[in-house]
Amino acid sequence: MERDWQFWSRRIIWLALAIATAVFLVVKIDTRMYVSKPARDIYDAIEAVPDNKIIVVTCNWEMGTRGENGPQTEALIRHCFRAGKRFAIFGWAFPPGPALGQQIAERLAPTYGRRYGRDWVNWGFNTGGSPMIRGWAKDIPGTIKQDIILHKPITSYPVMRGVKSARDVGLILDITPSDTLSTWVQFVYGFYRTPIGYACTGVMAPEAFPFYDAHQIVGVLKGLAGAAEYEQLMGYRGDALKRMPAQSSAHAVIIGLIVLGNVIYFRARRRGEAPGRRLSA
Amino acid sequence: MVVTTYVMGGLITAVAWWALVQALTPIFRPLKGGAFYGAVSASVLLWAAVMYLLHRLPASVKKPVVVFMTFVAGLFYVLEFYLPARSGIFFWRASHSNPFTPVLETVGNATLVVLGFVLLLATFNLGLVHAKNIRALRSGYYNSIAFYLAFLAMATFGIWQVYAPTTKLFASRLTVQQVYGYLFNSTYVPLAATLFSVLAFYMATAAFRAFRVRTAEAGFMMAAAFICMLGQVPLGMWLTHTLPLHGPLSYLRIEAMASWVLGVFSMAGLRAVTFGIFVGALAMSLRIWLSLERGAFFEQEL
Repeated sequence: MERDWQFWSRRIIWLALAIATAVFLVVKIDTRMYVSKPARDIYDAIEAVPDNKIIVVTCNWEMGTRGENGPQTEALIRHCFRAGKRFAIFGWAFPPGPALGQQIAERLAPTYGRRYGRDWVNWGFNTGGSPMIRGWAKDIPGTIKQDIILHKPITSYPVMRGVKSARDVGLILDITPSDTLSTWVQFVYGFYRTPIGYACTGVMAPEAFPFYDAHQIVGVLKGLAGAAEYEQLMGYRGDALKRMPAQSSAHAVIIGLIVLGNVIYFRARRRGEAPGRRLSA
Repeated sequence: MVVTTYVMGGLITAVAWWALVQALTPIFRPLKGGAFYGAVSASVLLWAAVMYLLHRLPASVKKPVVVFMTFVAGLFYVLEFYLPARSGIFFWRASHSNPFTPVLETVGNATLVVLGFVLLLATFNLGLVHAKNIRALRSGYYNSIAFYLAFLAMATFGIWQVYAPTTKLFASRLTVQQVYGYLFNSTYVPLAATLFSVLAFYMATAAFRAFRVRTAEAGFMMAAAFICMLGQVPLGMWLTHTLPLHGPLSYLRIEAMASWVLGVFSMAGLRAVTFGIFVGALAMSLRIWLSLERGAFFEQEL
């Protein structure tokens, strides 16, 4: 009986969550987000990048977190394209990241009339972590020899004019589910005062706030909600805004489950049963 | 006695490092053509000889060698980071600049080479484990066959598409780049996304089973969790949307409360935790650098 309950309760929860998510991915609901200050600050930071500097869009993510980091990357790249800011796609935490960023950039480029090599370049993935970043900050063309699309020296592209070190970078946008921020802050912001914007998964957001509060990063995009806020700022309805109803319903289901679990727990305790016995795994 | 030994050792090594840096700097100038291939071949032979010699050494000698190399490698970064960028102490340099900084990139590249070896070793180990599974026909050996197929396919087309992306395959219209694109977009991408998405389902069951308000602290945690979860989504924002956007009542809007929890309570806690972590990491780094660490891996027979 106990085993049956455990078996079925787990499957009922999975089914409830699947339905709650799937229904709102199919049914279209117009959603509006409250745009938080950390998201608006990234927007302002991109607008403020001078023409003689490049933006580095660091795609330090892979497919597992595409649901959150994908719309963030799209929103930020779209903003760079729309504002006419040149940028470089880069990655050093997950090898597929720059290729995924390139797919997004190639999809958006025709809309804004942007061209590879003139408006953006893909530096690809570099191993080496912190030591590599230290060398990169000092000598960008020396560390990133070639791009990964045409395999030509990066200095041969017009987009790279005047870009030699982190001093020539107007903004680093770190899009990631990992703890890459401390490396950027330690070795790039610490030495060169290069502004850093952080777009992370929802679970990583709390870790960014001490840096944001200390003005070591200019802004934070918190998971899918952050991407949705950015889409609203940009005035378009992308994947993030479309997915927010599904995330709302998933959060509601999880909150409901926690409440239900506690109701069962307290009722069992009042009856004198061993606390949590019915629900233990 | 131990401290004096380390201080003396550090001073001697610092001077040795400086001399080594001065001597080796010309080696890292770019080479081209035959000189480049000659240098690569000589490096490989030298590395093989050094590795052979190290392997032949008795364990009693190997350990001090490892300790010394660890200390020297760590000392470079300590000296480069803690010594000032410009100072009169570097009187022999015209610019009075830190002599270690110019070779920072070179040492970083050397670290990358070591990382390359690690990657090779890890790949070799992974292959070995799966080969053993297949040879012994252990349960789930077909997963190991799947690993080999996937590994070989991605490695082959991944490398091939870099060097000859437009090569046609088997007299068909398919190019190497298209096949790699198909493998990446239609196999790797959905597999990785699916694997991560499954976490959400386990989180839901874990929340149902484990999140109990047994104490007041757990109650606060639950309240904070609910506020943050609702404050991130339009549903939560809708619950308090009738409250004004400005003025004292605006602080009761769910998104404002979520920002407050994240930016005040959570941040204070995280700062404390981060501070503790980094103090611990500093102590741990010092123990590893000075080879004082004991326990797993550190006391094994070499």
